[in-house]
Amino acid sequence: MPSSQVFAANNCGRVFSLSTDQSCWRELPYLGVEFKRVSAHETVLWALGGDHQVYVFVYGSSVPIRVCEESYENQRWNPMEGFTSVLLPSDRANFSSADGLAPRPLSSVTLPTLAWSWESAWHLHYTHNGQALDKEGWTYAIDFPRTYTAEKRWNSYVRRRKWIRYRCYVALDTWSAVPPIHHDPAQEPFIDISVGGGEVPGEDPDKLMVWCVTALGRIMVREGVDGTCPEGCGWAHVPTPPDQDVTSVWVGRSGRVWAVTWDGTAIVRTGVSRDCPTGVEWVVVDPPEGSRLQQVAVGVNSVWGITRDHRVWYRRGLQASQDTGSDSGKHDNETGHKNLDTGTTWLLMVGLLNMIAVGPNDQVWGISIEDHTILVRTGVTETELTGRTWRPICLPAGTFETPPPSMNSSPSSSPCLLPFPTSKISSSIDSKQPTDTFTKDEQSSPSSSTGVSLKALEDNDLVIAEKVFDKLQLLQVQDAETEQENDVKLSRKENDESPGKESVKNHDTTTQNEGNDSAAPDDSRESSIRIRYPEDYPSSLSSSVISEHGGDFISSLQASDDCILPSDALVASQNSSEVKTSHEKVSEDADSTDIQSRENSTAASNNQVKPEKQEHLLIHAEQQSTSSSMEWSESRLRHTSSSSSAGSEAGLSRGSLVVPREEGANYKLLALEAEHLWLWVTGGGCWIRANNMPKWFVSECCPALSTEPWRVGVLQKLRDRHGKEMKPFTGYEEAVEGSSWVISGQCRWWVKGQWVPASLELIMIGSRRSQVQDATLIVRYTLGSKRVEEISCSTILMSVMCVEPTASRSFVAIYHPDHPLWPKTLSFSAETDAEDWLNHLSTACNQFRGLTDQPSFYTVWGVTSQGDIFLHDCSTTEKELRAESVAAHQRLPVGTGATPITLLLNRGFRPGCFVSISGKIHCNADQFHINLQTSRGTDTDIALHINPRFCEKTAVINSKKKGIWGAEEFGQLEVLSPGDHCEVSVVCDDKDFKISINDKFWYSFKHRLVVTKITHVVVRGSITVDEVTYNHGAGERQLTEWYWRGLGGHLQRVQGGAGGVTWGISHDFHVYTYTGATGGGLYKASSNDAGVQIMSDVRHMYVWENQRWNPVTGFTYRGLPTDRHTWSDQTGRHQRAKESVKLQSRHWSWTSEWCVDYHTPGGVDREGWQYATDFPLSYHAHRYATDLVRRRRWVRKCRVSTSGPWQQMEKVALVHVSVSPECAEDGTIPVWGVSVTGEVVVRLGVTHNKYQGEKWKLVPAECPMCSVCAGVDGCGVWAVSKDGQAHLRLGVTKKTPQGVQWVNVDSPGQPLVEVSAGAWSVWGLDRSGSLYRRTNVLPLFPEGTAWEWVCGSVASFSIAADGSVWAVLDTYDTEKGTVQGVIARRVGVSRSCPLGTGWEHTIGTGWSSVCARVPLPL
Amino acid sequence: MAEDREILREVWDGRVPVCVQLASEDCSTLSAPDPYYLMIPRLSYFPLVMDKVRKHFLRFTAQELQDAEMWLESDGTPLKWHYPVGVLFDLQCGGSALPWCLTAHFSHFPEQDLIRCQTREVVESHFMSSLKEADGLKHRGQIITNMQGKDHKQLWMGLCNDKFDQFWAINRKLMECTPEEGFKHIPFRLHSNCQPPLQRLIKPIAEDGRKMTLGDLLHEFLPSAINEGDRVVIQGIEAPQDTPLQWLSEHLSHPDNFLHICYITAQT
Repeated sequence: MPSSQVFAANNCGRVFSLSTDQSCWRELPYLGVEFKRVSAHETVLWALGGDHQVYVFVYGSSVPIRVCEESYENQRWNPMEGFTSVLLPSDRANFSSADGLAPRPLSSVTLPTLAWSWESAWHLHYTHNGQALDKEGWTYAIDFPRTYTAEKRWNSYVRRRKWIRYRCYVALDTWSAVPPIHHDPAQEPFIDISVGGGEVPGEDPDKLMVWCVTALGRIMVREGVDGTCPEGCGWAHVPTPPDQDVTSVWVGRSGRVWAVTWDGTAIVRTGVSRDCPTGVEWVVVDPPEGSRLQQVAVGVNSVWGITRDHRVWYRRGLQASQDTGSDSGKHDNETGHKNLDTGTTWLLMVGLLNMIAVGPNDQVWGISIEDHTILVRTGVTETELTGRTWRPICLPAGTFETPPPSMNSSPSSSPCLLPFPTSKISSSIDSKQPTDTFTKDEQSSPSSSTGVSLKALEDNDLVIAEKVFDKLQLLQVQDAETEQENDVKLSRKENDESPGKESVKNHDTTTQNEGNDSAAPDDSRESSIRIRYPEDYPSSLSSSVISEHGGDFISSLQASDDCILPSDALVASQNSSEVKTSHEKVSEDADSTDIQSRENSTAASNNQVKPEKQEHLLIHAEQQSTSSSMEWSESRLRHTSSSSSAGSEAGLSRGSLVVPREEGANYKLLALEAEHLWLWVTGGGCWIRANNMPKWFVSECCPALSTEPWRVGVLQKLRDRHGKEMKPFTGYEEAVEGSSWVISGQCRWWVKGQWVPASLELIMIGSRRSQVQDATLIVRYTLGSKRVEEISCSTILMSVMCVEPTASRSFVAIYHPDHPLWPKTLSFSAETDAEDWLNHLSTACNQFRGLTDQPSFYTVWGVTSQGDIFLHDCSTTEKELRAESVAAHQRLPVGTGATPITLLLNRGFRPGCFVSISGKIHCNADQFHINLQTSRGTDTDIALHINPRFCEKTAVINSKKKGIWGAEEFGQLEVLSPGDHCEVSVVCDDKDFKISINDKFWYSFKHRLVVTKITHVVVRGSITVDEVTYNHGAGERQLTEWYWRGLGGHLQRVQGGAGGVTWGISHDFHVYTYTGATGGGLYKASSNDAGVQIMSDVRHMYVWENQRWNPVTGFTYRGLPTDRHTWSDQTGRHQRAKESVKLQSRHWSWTSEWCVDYHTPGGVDREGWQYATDFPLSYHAHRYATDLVRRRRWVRKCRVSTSGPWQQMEKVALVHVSVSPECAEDGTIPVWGVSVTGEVVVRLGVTHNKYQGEKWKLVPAECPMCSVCAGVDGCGVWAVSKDGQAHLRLGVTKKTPQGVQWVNVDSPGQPLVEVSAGAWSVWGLDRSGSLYRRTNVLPLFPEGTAWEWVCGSVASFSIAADGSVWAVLDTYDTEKGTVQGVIARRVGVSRSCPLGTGWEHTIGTGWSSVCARVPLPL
Repeated sequence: MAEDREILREVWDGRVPVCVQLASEDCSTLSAPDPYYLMIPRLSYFPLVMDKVRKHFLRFTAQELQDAEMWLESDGTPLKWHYPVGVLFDLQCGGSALPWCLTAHFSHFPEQDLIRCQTREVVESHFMSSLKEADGLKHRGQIITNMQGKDHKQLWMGLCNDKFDQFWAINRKLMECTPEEGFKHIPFRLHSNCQPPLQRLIKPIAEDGRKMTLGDLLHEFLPSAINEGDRVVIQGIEAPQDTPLQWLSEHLSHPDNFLHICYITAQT
C-alpha cells in the first residue's frame, strides 16, 4: 500500500503529519501562522489559519508543477513592407491567444501569485505539429484562423509564431496564503474549510472541490483548483437558503456536500456533478432528535455527524453516488438522488467526539472529547461502513525539521522568507532570476524587520497599496478593540467548561486580562525572544496558549452551543480571528522583546519566532493582471507594498523604541510540560484499510517487533542453542528421515482439446530446511485409458495463474521448453486452490533450483498484461552452465594407447569445446598426427589436422575438404621432440582452433570447415597415447530454456539497471523500488520475505457505447445489422456489456461505479461522445453534419491489494522511469523519470546499496515528455515528447550524467512513443508499433541521421547496454496459431546487418513489458 | 497472527542429541550392544522417533521381551512419553552433558510412573486432545472444531514427518487472533522437576491493557521467588522476562499449542 499521510492540528496551531509507514508525528514547517482546521487531499493540504484566512500546502509531489504560458505573435503581409505587425482592424491583436480571441501581449502575462515563479524568459517555440520550424519559428496561413503550415507559400498572407514561457509553482512543501474574498481580508474571514472531490464521476482526479464558510455564514467555493493550479483562481458564492447561515461544511470525495447551519440542522447540496460542480439546490436534513448538529463529515458512501453534545451519529440510507453521465433525464435523477444524498435516519454511535473526519474508503477519524487524542475507526469496510470500535493513535510528536528539499533546482526548497503578521508582505519574484531574488530575500529579511523585497514591484502598485494599507489600518484597530472585549468573554466561557488545572490557569489569565484591560499582559520577562515552540515554551505561557488556541476552537463550538445569533457569532469569530495587525502591535507593544498579550499571542509568537526560525510564510501576492478577475488584481499585494513603504513604522515593532510594559511574572503552580491536545484531524489524503492498519498500533506491527530486544534475545538464544546442541552432533543419525512430501489435489487437465478431470500429485523429495532435491508433478487422468503425465520441476520454466471470472475457473499455466508458447494448463474451480498450487509449484521449482536469494545484477525483467512480475536471472543460468561444463569433462578410453586411435566425441564439437591428448612420442619418431574429423573413416573431411614432422623438422597444420587438402600452415616444432611426453590440447573458439602444447599456446588455426560437424578425434603415428580428455563445454541455453521466477506485486513496468537497481511503476503511477526480497503476493512460502511490503494498484476497466444516427430519432442504439454491438470493447468486434466486465481476481475490488470517461484519447464533447462518419473511422470530439455514428467510453476503477518486494517512493507520480545500465563516475546510478505532467526528472544519489536515492532534480525541457531512456556514456539519454519527437540529451558523460541540454531529433514521420539506446545503437518505437533504428549514430555525432524502419507489431522494447534488442511483440505467428505478447530478442544483428534478421522468442505469452538493460559481462 | 517465520523455523528445527544404551538386565547377549546415537526433534514425542532404536536393541534382547514396550530412563528417572522430547530434555538434562544419555528398557515397566503406549495412535490421540485443550483456552475451541478431519491429520503428519510447512499451513489458523485482544487465555504448562506440571488461566493482556509478559506469569504462578541459579527454560532457552506472553505463545509453543515452561531449580 502506498504510504499516505494524515494531518492534524494541535492546540498550539501547529500542523503535524503522520505517515502510514511511520509511527511518529512530524511537524510541518512552521512559518509564523497557526492553524485551526486542516483539510487534506492526496497532494494538497488546505487549512484555516489562526487569522481565519485560507492557506494551502502542496505536499504530495516532488515533481514541480509547471505551466506553459503561451502567446501567439501574429503578422500580416502587405505588399509594401512584407510581413509586419500592422494588422487589419478586423484581425486579431499582434499578440494574442491561440484562437486569436483575446489579446495577449507578453508583458500582460504575469504570475498569478507569488507561489509561482518564471522559469525562463519568453522564447520561441520551434515545432509545429511535430515538425521542426526554422529559426524564426513562423507558421503561415492564407488568413486567420486557418490551418497553419510550416512552409511559406505564395498565398501566405498571414503568419504567426508561438512564444512560450514556463512558470513553476515554487511553494511546494510550504504554506502559501490563498487570496481572500475581499481586498481586506478582515472583512469576511473564514470559519471553516473542506476539500473534497477527486472521485466525482467523470471528473479529472486532480480537480478538487474546496468549500469554505465565512464568518457571515456564507458558503464560498474556490474555483479552478486542480493539479496545475493548486491554489485555485477565484471565489464563488453558493447561496444558502434564507435564514440558513452556515457554520460548517464538508465536501466528500465524490462531490457530496453537507453543511451545518447555525441552528444545528444540516443542509445537503444536491446535483453536484461534473457539469455542475457547485450543485443545484439545498435540501434540509433534520438533525438527530433533540440535538443540534455541530459538524458533519462526508465520505463517498457514508455521512457522519457530531451533535453539540459531542455524540456521534451515522447517517443511514445513503447510497453510492450514481453515475451522472447517463442519459436519463436530469429531473428523474434529482428526485431519485435526494434520498441517496440525504439518507434516511440518524444512528447513534458509541463514543463522544470533538470532531469527526472521513477519509478515502470512508475511513473515519475523530478526536476524543476527554483527552483530545486522535481516534481511528477500526473495521470500516465497504460492507460495514460503521466500523467496529474507536482506537486511539498514541504516538510521539516530532518537532519541526527542515523538510528535505524536494527539488533542488526549484527555489521552493527553502521556505520563503517573509514575515507574516507584520505586514502581510510578500516578496515578489524577479521574473527573470527567481533564484537570485530568493537568495537576496533570505539575506535581507532577518536583518530588516519587514523583509520586503520591493525590487520587482511596480510603482503604481505601491501607490494603490499604500491607500489600501491605510484603510486596513483603521479597520484593524477597530477590530482589535472589539477583539479584546470578546476575548475576555471568551476566557470566561472557557473557565466554565475547561476542566481541572487548565481552568485554573485560565482563571489567572482572565483576571489578568481584566486587570489590564486593553493592555497586553506580560507573562515572564526572562522568556523574551526565545523560540518558544515547542520544547522551550515556558510552561506558564504554554497553558495560556493552550487555552487561547483551544479557546478559538471551543469558542466557535460554544457559540453554537449557546445559540448565539449570527451577528454574535460574527463577532466571536472576528475576535478569534485576532486579526494580525502589525499596527496594533506597533502601537500597543512595539517592544518585540515583550511577550505579547494573550489576545495576540498568535501574532506575538509569530513575531518573535521569526527572526530565529528563519522560516517565513510565502503569501500570494496576486499580481496585477489585466486578463484576470478583479479579485486577482485587488489582492493582498497591496498590503505587501504598503507595509513595505511603511517599513520604518513596522520596524518599530522590533526595534525596542517603546518602553516595555512591565508586569509581574505569572507562574504556574505545577511545572507541567506543554500538553499536546489535538484539535483537528484530516484523513482526506490517507489511505488505510480495515484489514491492514498502519504501523501506528505497535502490537499489530510485525516489522517493528523485529527490533524488540526480547525478540532479538530469543532469536540469539535459539541460535546459540543450535550451536550448542546440534552443531557438534551433525554426524548423528536423524530420528526422522527427510522423506518425500506429497501434495495432492484435483483439477482439470487440458489434453487433446478438452478438459479432463485429473488428480494432481506434487512429490517433493528433500531433507530438512525445506531443501527440495527433486520434485515431480504427476497428473493422472483418464482419456480412453488411464494415463499419467509426469512433469519434473527441473523442466518447468514458468508458472502463471489467471482467473476466468466468467467461467468461475482459475488456471495455472505451466510452461515447458517443449512448447514455450503453449502452456500445459491446470484448471481449478476454486481460486484459492489455484493460488495454492501456483505457490506449491513455484516454491518447488525455486527450491529445486536453489533460487532463494536476491537475484543478481544481470536480470531480465518481464511484466505481464495482468501486472504480474517475473524475472530471469542470467547469472544463474551462467552458473548452471558452468556446473554442467564441469560435469561435461570426460576422459575417453584409450586402451593400451597404441595408435591409431579413433574416438567418438559423443556430444559434438562447437565453440567452447576442447579436446586434449597426452602421450609419449616415440624415441625414433618421424611424425604423428592428430585429426578432428567429421566421421570415423579415413577418407573424410578433416577440420583440423596437426602433423608434427620430425623428419622434415616442421609441423604442418591443415584441413581437408572433400578429399582435397587445404593450404598448409606451419608451426614451430621446437616445443616437441622425440622421446618426450607431450600434451596437445585444442580449444574450439568462435573463429579458430587454439592449439596449445604442454599448456603453452602454440598455434591458432582459423576455421575452414563448420566445426559443429566434427564427430571424431583420431591420433595416428609414432606416439603412445596416455589420455584423451574431452569437454563438450557448456551447453547453450536457448531463450526458450530460461527459467522465469515470479515475484509478488502488481506493476505496469519494471526497469532494472546497473548495480541491481530496479524501479517499477504501477498503473496508478506510483513509483516503487525493488527491495531485493523474493515472494509476496501469491508466492507465500518464501524464505526471504523481510522486504515484502503491502501494495495496491488501481486499474481502469473500459467499455464502449456505440450509437448510430438516423434521421427520425437522432442517435439511437439501433444500428445497422453490420454495426458493432451497442456495448463493445475498443475494437468494436466483441460485445462487452458493463455487467460482463469482471474483476481480475479475488484480490481486486471495485472502487467506483461505471461512469462516462471524459478523458478518452481524441477528445470528447460535453456528454463524452466522439463522432465519426462511420465505424471504425477516426473519431473526433466535435460533431459535423456528416457524422453518422458516435461512441463514448465508460470507465470503472478497480483496486488490487497485494504484497510484494517493492518499496514505494513517496511524493512522486511518474509515467515512465528508466535506470541507467552504467554507473556514473561517482558511483551513482542515474535514474530518469517522466512525471505525469511531462516533466523530466533525474534521481540523484542512487547506488546499488541505496536503491531509493536521495533527491529528485528537474531537468527542464521545452515540451512535455512522455518517456525517457537513461544512460551514461555509450547510450546517452533519450526522451520522447508528447507530440512524438525524439530528444537527445547532449553532454551526458560519466562525469556529468545529467547532461547539458536537450536537442530535438526528428521523428520517423509517425510520432514516437519511446526511444532507447545502448552501445551506440539507438532504437525507437512509434505509436503504431513500428520499430526503427537510428542510422549513423556515432560517439561524435550521437544524434544520428535518420530513422530506419525495422519491423512492426512491437508493443514495447528495451535495449541492453551491449546493444542487444529485446521487445514484446504484439502478435507472433507460430505453427499452432498467432499468440500475443511474446518477449523476443533480435537475432542476426551484425555490423553488416545492424537491423537484425528476426526474432528469437522466450517462453510465455501475454507479456506487456520487458527490461533487459544490463547484459552479463563476458 | 504476525507470523515470524525466522523464529518458528528455528524453534521447529531444534534437535536433541541422544545416546541410547540398552539396560544391562535386558541384554541377552554376551557383549552389550553399541549405544545408539540419534538426533531427535525437540518438538516430537519419544514413541514417534524410537522405532529405529527399538529395532536395533530388540536383536540383543531375550525372545520373551520381543513384544514388550520399550521405555526410556534418564539418570534413574523414567521418561514420560507424553511430554515433548524437548521438555524432558530441559527438565532432566538441561544441556549439562551432551549427548543426553538414555537407557532403554524392555522389562520392569514402571506402571506407577508411566502410562503405557502401545501404538502411535495413542500418541496421536494424546496430541490431538492437547491441541483441543489449547484451542479451548485460546479460542474457546472454535477453531479446532471448525477444522476438517484432514486438517487434523495434516497437523499430526506434519509433526510425525518433521514437515514444517505442512504443519504450519494448518497451525497458522490455530494461532490467529485479533491484535487488540490476543488469545482468550494463554495455554501454558509450568513444569518443574519435582512437582506435577502447573496449569492455570492467564490472559495475554492485563485489565489495564498492558501486555502480560513472561515475568508476570512467573511472578504469579511460581511458588516462591526465583532463586539465584534457577532457570526458566522454554524450548531450551531462557527467554527474556519482558517477552510478551502472546508472542511467546504464538512462536515458542510446542506443536500441541501449549507453552511448556520448565522451571529448573539450582539444586538439581
